[in-house]
Amino acid sequence: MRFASRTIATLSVVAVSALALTGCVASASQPSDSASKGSSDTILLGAAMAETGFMSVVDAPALNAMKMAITQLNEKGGIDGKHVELRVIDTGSNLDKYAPASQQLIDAGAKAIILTCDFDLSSPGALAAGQANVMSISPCIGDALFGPKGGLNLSFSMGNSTIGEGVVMAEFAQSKGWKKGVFLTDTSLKYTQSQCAIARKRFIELGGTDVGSYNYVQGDSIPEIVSKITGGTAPDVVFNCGYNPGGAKAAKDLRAGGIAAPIISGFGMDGTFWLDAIPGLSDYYVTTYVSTTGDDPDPAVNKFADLYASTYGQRPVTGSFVTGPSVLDALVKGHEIAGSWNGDKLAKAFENFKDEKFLVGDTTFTPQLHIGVDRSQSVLVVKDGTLKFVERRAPEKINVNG
Amino acid sequence: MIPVIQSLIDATSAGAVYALAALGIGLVFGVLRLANFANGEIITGAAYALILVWPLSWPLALAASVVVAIALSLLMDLAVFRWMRSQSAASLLIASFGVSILLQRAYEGIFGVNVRTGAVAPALTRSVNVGGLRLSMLAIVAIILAAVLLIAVHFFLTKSRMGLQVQAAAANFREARILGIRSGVMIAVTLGMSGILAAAVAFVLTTQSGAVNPTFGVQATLFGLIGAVIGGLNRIGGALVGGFAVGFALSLFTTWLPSGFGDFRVALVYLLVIVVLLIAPNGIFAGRTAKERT
Repeated sequence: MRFASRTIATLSVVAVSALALTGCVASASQPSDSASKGSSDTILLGAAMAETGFMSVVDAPALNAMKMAITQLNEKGGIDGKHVELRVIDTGSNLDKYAPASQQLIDAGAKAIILTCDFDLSSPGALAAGQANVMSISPCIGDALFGPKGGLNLSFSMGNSTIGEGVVMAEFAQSKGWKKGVFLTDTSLKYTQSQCAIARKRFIELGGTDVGSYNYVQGDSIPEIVSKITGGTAPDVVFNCGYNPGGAKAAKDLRAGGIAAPIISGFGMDGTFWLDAIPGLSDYYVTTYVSTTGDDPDPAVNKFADLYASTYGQRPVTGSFVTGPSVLDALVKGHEIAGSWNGDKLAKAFENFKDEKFLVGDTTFTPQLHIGVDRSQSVLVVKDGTLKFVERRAPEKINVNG
Repeated sequence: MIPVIQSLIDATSAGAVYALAALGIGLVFGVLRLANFANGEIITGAAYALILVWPLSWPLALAASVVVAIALSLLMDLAVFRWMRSQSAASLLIASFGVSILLQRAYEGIFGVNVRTGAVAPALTRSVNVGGLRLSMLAIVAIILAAVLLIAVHFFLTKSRMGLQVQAAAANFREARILGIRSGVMIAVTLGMSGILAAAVAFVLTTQSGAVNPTFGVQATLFGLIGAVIGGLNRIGGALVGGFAVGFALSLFTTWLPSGFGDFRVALVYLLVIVVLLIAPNGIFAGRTAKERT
């Protein structure tokens, strides 16, 4: 048989390039339930979220906690005497699954669509919901673009805004007396790009100096960046604007390269599951929702975390679990005000939320901002292989335009 | 001067890893005409063995990773590729994509989609400063490991009877068979060697990251395969140099591209590949003549 090495060479390069550009391999989504219409005796909520894939670490705690909250709500009689049913489609964290999953849930009669905690992934699903006049709500998207700023008028997030998160990171660093900062940005998500841009801006406003800004992409090893850092002005703090597992890989490279400066990250690095990769890690700070280990200052948070642990056999992986019940409570509250599940009417009701008390914290929405930007956040520190609560901190100066 | 030397050290370390990956791919291609994209999943399998077994015993973990890698190499040949010996190289490549995806799903089913973390060889995840140069222990080990394995492979191929038979099979499989070289043994030996190289790549990468997920080995294989292609898939040495060059170039681009252009480093590597293939369609070190095998 004739073999043409030129053909195979070309085919190899085209094939691997295509795989590289498409993020390698997609996994199939598996609807966890049938797509039949919800019954008139129940109120159907649809969730197009990641039970698998890289976003599952963030989504799963919120989704699990939401399921618990729905059980509790149904035990109290549900909404208007109707039980709430949650139908979940696992998107596998794949971008191309969100729009069809949302449509499938809308066709099944979902009154609201609950979406993954990332703007890039969720926006196609939000667009599909908006076109059907169905509200979309995400437990913990951080980007203020998830709302009118991004053309998504019926979309809300119960998450902490990246605007507030970046500011809290910078203000915490300033409170520690750290003046020289290195900024490492994982450019694979808008979330992490915004996080570092906002943190850097606020850090400099507070008198800090940027002694080096570098980009990496999820999964990269960064020995070259480490060499640049060690060859330049020694930083007092490193802002690692990343998410797992790539963020942990970057952190490991930093420590392996001899950079002992404190590192601070946002919610993307919440959780303890990655700490085994870096034995003896210390001086690593994370700003997030709450502490999951039972040392949060809010007893209601600790109580829910304990209940979560008894329900699922392990404590929540990240602090995002508090956003799950908050989604449900917000929908109940919004429906109570609007008297309707129509997306436009429900959104109007949400826009009048002013310091509403939810498990995630006080929540205010406006016609311009469908995410809380000034909510206080928890700062945790890695100690003895786990995350310990340090303080609650609200952003002092917010620029809603980032 | 120090930044230049430092960047060369970093680039050599990166190049060494991709050279190992490319050599494994080149070896298999030389004998089987199989550009095995599923080499990534062999690396992943070895990485899972390292992460999971290391807390029990590090020698056992090293042994387990090599055993897993060799077993996976042989098993995928036994299950898929041996039935396609007469197919074109393009068909084999496509089949290897299928094997790759199948194994990724299998890993998802067995280990879950999220990362498994653990400290592999934690003593190597530190650096020493020598005359202003940062020397990562892992980088040193990676370079030494690559050099030792490459020399071992070279001596095996050029000095041992079996190695010469592998080379003969790689050069002209049909004639080698006519001359009485046992093709099945040669294929098994080649796959075994590629498995050992994959395990070495897995060791360096897991030590570096401390984490493994179902797509762990894909990136190294992508760049290894690209390196093997530009070096010349037909030539084992060419694949090795090509793999090293890709890692080396990628690292230098990361270090020296101006701020704002760093995100183009991978694109620049692909651009280089295009340029090389335009000039030398069969790879830099490959001959211009096509080869035959049945």
